[in-house]
Amino acid sequence: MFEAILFYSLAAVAVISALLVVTRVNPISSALMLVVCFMATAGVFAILGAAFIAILQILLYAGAIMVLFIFVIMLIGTDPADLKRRQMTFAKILGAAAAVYLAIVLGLAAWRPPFIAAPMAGDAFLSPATIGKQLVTTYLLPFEILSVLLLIAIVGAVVLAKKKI
Amino acid sequence: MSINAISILVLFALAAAVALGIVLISALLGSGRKSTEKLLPYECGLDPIGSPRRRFSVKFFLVAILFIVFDVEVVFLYPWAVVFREFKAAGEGALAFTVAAVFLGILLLGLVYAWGRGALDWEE
Amino acid sequence: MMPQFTQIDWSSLFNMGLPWIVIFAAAAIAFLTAALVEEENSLFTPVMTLVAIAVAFALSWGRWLSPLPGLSFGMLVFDKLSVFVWLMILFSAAISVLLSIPYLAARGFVKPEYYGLLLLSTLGMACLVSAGDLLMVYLGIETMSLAVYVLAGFLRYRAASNEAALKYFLIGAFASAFLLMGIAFVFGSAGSTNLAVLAERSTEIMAGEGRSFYLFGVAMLLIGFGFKIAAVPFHAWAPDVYDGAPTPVTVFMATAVKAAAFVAFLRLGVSVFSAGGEVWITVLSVGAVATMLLGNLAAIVQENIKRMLAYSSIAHAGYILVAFPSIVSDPQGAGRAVLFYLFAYILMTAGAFAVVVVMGLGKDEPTGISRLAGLGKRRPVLAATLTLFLLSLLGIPPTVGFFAKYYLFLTAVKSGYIWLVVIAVINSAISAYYYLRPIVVMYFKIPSPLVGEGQGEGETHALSPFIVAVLAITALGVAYFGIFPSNLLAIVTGSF
Repeated sequence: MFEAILFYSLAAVAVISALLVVTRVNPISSALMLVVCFMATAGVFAILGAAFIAILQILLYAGAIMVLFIFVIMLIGTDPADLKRRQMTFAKILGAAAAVYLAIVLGLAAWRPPFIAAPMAGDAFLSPATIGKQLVTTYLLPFEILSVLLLIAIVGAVVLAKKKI
Repeated sequence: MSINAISILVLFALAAAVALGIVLISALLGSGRKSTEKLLPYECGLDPIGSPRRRFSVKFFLVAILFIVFDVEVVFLYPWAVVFREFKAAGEGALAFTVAAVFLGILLLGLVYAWGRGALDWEE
Repeated sequence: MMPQFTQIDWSSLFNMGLPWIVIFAAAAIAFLTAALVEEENSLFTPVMTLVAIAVAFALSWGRWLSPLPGLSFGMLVFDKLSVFVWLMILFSAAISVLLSIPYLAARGFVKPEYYGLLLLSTLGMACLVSAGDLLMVYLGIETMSLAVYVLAGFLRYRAASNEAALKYFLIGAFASAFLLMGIAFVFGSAGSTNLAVLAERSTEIMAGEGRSFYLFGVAMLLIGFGFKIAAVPFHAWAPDVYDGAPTPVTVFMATAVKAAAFVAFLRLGVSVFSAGGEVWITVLSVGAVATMLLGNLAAIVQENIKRMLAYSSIAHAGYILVAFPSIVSDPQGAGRAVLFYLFAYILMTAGAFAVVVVMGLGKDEPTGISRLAGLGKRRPVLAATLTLFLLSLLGIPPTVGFFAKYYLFLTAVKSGYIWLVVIAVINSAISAYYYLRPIVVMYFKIPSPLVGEGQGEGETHALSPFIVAVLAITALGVAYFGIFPSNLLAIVTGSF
């Protein structure tokens, strides 16, 4: 019961703040609303027992990635004169209609919950230790290749964003 | 719910309570009078100069993105560090060390590259 | 659970991964050169890259020839298929490097990072084509694409190049979201992301309660792959990106990226399409028809040869998709036909783009078709090779393009998709218009100096030996396998 209340309140915060992200005119307000959204999502992860993921959500998304977002907004510039109210266009109405349709279809598909109930494995499930063991045994090869991906990210950032290479 | 999750949620609740509490208390106790001084942005006691909305240099962006990459690296090393002793106890410490060393080594190459290319120099 | 490292066979993993290590080492040298060497010799990195590719190629070829059975490490599967496609990828990477040397030199923008990123991208493709797990598919696609996004925007001073990189990146990120969502749904309904497990269990899952979520997940994966192979309706990015990117990178995207994505798609299809086939048959055949039609019709109106080839590349993706419904009933035949086609497609597309590189060696990139006017007189050999590639793309015997289409359509007919093949043949006929037009312009149109026709800037100086090498290799390949298609067929049969 307590968990359900917690879940629905956090989920409501997440959905409302996500809506605010896309409706604010000032991009900085949108970015701050996104932080709220990330926090609420982290709370949902915590309820599900994924404490490590919850911390990562805050550390990486609410922390590092939001800093980057705000830098990018500052880079582009947020002169109030440049900020225009959003206009209703045909494309947007069509897009919204498609989103509603998708939501209805998904809702209908989920009507009868077809998932095999995920086993709640308690504290060991998704704890850093379990993840660590899996990371260097089952997922060893993806783990190593991931570092190549990160290397490309470093080189790519320098190649594209540095003033002079 | 696991004890880890509960402790995180308690932390969240406390953080939210402190943040909301400060706003509420100052709203209740404050007089509500506004003056020019009070409405100025606070910059360590100095009067602000110019518009805060001037564009940032792309240099900030480069530093931020490099920070994120190394942040992700740390995130992946954390679970490894938690279980390293277990591997050592099982007699596989050398292997466990090697796989992390390879991961780190590949990213070290990125650091050397960024450094050599001058991406870490502020002045060009 | 005790930690278990011993379940991995380290020595055979090292053996299999050796070509990858060679490629990575070369990329590392390229980055270190960029970082630490002040005045680098402009030829050092590309030559080192070519040597590394050659070494990796030789090692992998040895692996392909050896009679040892394939090895699976769960996440990665090293079988004949993955080794063969990896060889094709290395080949296209080498062609791209050869074209890059004069291209970058002409623009005074020679940077070692370029070659390093190219090599790391091939590494991502290697993961993609050897992936035995959806997680690895995702990681491979990301590694491959991230490097190509940067390469597409490598000429930073050109607005078109920046636009190409941004568009490619945004669309690619969007596609990745679909892929990831699909993987999550498949995992949720099947309990595994391993392709072998999925193949075993998909009939059972499709009959059980998780059916709708499994279908939804696989549909999401289809959308993700649709973006990567530029199938209609997920194709809109391709012409702009192909047009704006540096031409050697366009070659790389049109050949290696496409081949890797198609083979991963093929592997996925073989694993999951056998169950619930009728759904996928409809989706894939509609996609194939739409892709062929749109690619061919849009290619007709293009004035710029780079855009024309981009739309032609979309059309060819449509032809390849014609074989995909056959996966359900005849996975082996479909796989072989797709591999044959990809091989032929790499040869002829790389060759055609090499001619575009020759035309565009100036500062601005004059790639209008009218620039070809009179090429038949001024440069008879170049005009003849371009004619050969265009005829092969069109599918005129005895070029390799004809036999590629022939085997593709034959597979579809054998599995009973005659209507699909009829549409594909009609499309081939439509494509004659735009493939023959450059040939007509080259040989029969007199250049008018007033509108700057003819005389692409690059034509004033002699052809770079690197471009000559590319043209010679691809033209020989197109002609040789056109006359002896059974040799290529034997290679392909041995790989799938």
